[in-house]
Parts: sequence; structure tokens; C-alpha cells
Amino acid sequence: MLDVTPFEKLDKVIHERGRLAIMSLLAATDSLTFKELKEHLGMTDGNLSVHMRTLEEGGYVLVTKSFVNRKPRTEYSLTPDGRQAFQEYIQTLEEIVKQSQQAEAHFRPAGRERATLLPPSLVPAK
Amino acid sequence: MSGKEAEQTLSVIRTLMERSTCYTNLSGHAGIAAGLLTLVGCGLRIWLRTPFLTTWMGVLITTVGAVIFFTARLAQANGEPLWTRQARTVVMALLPAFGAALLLTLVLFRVGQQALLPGLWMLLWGVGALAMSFFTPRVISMLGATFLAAGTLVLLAPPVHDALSMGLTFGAIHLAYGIVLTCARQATCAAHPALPL
Repeated sequence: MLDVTPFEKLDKVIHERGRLAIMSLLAATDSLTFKELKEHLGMTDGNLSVHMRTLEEGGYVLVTKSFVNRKPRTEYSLTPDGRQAFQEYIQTLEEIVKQSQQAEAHFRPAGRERATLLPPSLVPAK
Repeated sequence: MSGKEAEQTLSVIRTLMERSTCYTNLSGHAGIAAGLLTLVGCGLRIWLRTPFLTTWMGVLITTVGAVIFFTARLAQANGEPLWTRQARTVVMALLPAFGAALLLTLVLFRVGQQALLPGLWMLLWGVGALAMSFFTPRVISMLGATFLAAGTLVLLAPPVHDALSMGLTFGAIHLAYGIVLTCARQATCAAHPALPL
């Protein structure tokens, strides 16, 4: 029987494709500006602002405002809580994939094990 | 969420994480300046018969200055600092090949083998550009591969005047690269095409 626990563990704040994309970009770097995020994701200013506010209110993202050459610059980075939540989200996805593979194994003879899809830094320790 | 969807999501996450390390402040004007300065060096070598090392070191120094100037201007226009984390990564990727080129220049010039230098410079610039291309748009890997091929050809083919080989490679190729980059509306990362997001 399929274990539904991993599905319930998926973080609802992160589990929205726009916010997941933002979290993924921020997880790989120290910080990114609003403009960089917009370029990477092809989102509108309004859409990105809404997602950033949701992540900020959730305590996942830290906002730093400054001026470069007298132009305002807004930088975003993941908070420790945000990084932790992102890692847990990844682990949950890995669990779902693992469960699915185990379920598939019942219906087919022994095959090759699939390669992990994540960078080594994010693969949960065994 | 099905296992298949979870797999696809993990794959998209990985691609996005790789994408955020991409350096996109590549200035087409810097490429054009590099090409033109090399052509000036060729002119000096042919018509004024300026010394080999003085000419090409002069071209190198002015080119580095021009690249910094145009990249800084582009960064300023984008409201970004020049020395970002991505910029540091790209420079660090280039440094080993650049350092090796400087060392070989000194050594080969001292033993009177300067005829080998243009081919070696092309080869090492190709290696450096390919190292940088892991963190830049696709155009840099094409530039690197072109210089690797050009360097191999110049080293294996019968010797020609350095002004000719440098003009055709560092001059013409950089000019073409700069023009292509200036004309391109947006450079996209090599390993990271548009995502379904």
C-alpha cells in the first residue's frame, strides 16, 4: 500500500511552481537581485513581488535594500529556515520518487537503478 | 504528486540551481574592442615594425582595460556591481590558463622561441574560455572551441608572420564575437535552455 505521508509533508509555501523556482535559484547562491530573479524566471514585476512577499512573510527569504550608483538595489537571500525548508522539500520529493520506484519494481523484473537527479550537496545523507 | 512529477520537479530544481550561477554581463563592445586593438597591434607590427613582445603585451594590457571598462559600463546600466559572485567565478575559471600563458610567454621568449607564442596564446585562451563557459552563456564555449582549433592549426601549420595569425584569430574572431553579442538581444545560458516554469 502506498504511504501518503511524504505527500502530506510537502511544504505548501514552497510547493507552488513560481515560489519553488525562486527558492531553487536562491538555494544555489548567496543572494540574487530582483532583476536577476526576474531575468531567470521571466516573471512580471508584480508576480515576482507577490511571491517574494509570501516567502518573506513565511520567514524563508531575507530582503536587503541598498543603493548602487544611486540606483535602488533589492537583494534576496534564503534565511536558515528557508534553506532548511528547501532541503526538507527536496528530501520529500526524493522519498516520493523512491516510493514510486519501489511500487514500479513490483510490476517489472529487476532493472537498472536510476541515477539521482540532484546535485551531491542536496542528496540526503544515508 | 506522482513519482514521475516529483522526478520532473527535481530535474527542474537542479536546472534552476545551475542557472543561477550563470554570468550574463558579457559585453559585445568589449569583444569588438579586443578585436580592434589586436588589429591595431597587427598594423604596428607590419608597418612600424614594433618589437614582438612590447606590441602584444601592450595589446593585452589595453584589451584587459577595455574589457573591464565596457563590462563595468554594462553592469552600471543594469544597476549591478561589477564584481559579483558570478564575475568572481568566471575570473577564477580563466586565471589558470591566463597564468600559464604569461609564464610560457616569459620562458619561450627567453629561449628565443617566440614564433610558437601566438599558437600557444590561442590554445590557452581557448582553454580559458572553455573553463569560463561552465558559468557563462553558450557563446563563450563556441569562442573557446574556435580558439582551440585555431591554436592547433597555427602550431601545426607552417610558420606565418605573427601579425597575420593574430589578426585572423584574436582580431577577426573577437570582432565577429563582439558583433554577434551586440546584435543578440539576450544571451542565454548554454546548459540551461528555457524552462517549463
